[in-house]
Amino acid sequence: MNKFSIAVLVPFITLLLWVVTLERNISGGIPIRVGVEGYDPRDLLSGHYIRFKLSLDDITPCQNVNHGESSCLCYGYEKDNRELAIPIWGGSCNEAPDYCVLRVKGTCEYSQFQSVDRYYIPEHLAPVLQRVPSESSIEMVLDRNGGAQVIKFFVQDESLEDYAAKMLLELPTPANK
Amino acid sequence: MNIEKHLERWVGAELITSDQADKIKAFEKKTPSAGWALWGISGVGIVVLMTGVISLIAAHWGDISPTVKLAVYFLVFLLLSLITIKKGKNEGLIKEVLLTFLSLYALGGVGLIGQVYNLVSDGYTGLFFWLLIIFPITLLAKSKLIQYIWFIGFTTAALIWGFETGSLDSAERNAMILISIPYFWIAIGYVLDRKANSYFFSAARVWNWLIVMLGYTLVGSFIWNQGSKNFQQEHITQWQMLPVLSIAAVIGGILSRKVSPGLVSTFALLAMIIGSGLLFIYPAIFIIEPHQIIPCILFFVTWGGFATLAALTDRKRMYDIAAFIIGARFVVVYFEVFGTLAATGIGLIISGGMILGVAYAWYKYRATLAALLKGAA
Repeated sequence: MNKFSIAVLVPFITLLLWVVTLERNISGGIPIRVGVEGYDPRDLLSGHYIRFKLSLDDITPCQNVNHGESSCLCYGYEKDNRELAIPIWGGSCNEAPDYCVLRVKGTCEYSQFQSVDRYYIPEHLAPVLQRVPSESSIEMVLDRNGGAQVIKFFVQDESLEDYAAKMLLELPTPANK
Repeated sequence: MNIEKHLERWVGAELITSDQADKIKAFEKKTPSAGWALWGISGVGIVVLMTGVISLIAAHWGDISPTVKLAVYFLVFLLLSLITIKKGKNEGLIKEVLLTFLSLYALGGVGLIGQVYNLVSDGYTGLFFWLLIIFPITLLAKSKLIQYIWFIGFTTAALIWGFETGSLDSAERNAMILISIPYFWIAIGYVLDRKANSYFFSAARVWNWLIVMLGYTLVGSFIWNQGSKNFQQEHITQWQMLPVLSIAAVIGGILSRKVSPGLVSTFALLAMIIGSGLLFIYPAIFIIEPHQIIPCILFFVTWGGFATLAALTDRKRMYDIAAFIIGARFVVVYFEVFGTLAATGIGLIISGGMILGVAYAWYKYRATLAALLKGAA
């Protein structure tokens, strides 16, 4: 195989390996469902993503962390609720306690914890998703290093797509006005 | 102008004989080319077809599962890659078009994967990743289009990085890195351009010279006119040395060129580098008071160097553009210095006469000046 053929195949092979790695992260990671909330209206320029932030409750992962440095948010389960994980600790990853098994690694930008923050939505569902609906949650997989990948978005117990499709049907049509 | 008219001109200029012209005409009649009409219609057909395909996919994008999206993407990618390898055995337009299309297709893939896996995006990481994976293709391609696409992508990614990651603490660091990048690329373009067909390093020089000449000289002139007191620090930091280092790298690159086209050419390049550096980098490092004459002189030196280079390499259009820009700057500084003349009718008449005189002198003697510069090389 000459160098031209190798050069042409490099992008294909690289992207394929990237997808394989992402799939391995999903299949080998720990799935967890956590609450989310909106912080900005949907950003149209981001290619039809719904933007959200992880619900922190009273946890402040950026309190003692400088701007631009990484921080960790740890999750755990309440005794009577194994469905939805809740944040139990936050701070510099080096200072994470031993019980911090389920952790999401992020960065502190101006005291805001930044990690996974978007979920793709088809354009035709956009009209009913101007903001993150209340009681929203995401399912993501975590790897050992705190890397997180969003798999699914839920509104209460419904998938975002089903919820949005239902809301779309309830929108008044010109005939109903 | 069709080939027959070309042939008539060449016979008239005694470049070819009438017999040779007849033979060429006979050959062209035997193997007719597709002609612009066919290319045009085919082009419209391709655009309409692609628009239809894209519309169909876009309309049902939400219904297509991520697995299908990725599978189809990679199948098409593999097919395109294999076709490019097969067609790439022969140099020519088809090979270059395929390489450019493949590169852009890879960019689409980066976006698609980010969308399917809901990946966090800062804008520049994905772009830099794309630039990296198509770098081997870009290095081997002989088409200007793909080279400039690569450098436009690089500049865009660098700018996004500079603004996205900039905070109060790192704003200066980012700014110094950003303004040094074009000079470093120009240096790389001179140092690594050892081969005759190194299109990539040629594009590195051209694109980044464009940024320096059209960006730095104009912005630098503005900063000198306003002064840099309001946004400059009192002390010099280590990051402010980076642009100085980048200019030193270009000077080193210019002086170490494998091909030496002559002393005048070298001086012209040095004038461009030092002039643009003093115009743009100097006020970025030091606090300066507003000036009008100094930036004008620096501007003339920089663009004068560019005009000299254009004259030496017989690039008439570039020479005329440089002359126009120098002329426009002359008019600006004229009214900056003698602005009060514009307040009176007589003043305006004198100013207009002077400007017309300069324009006429330039029109009459520009070819002579270009020949003089070429002769001095």
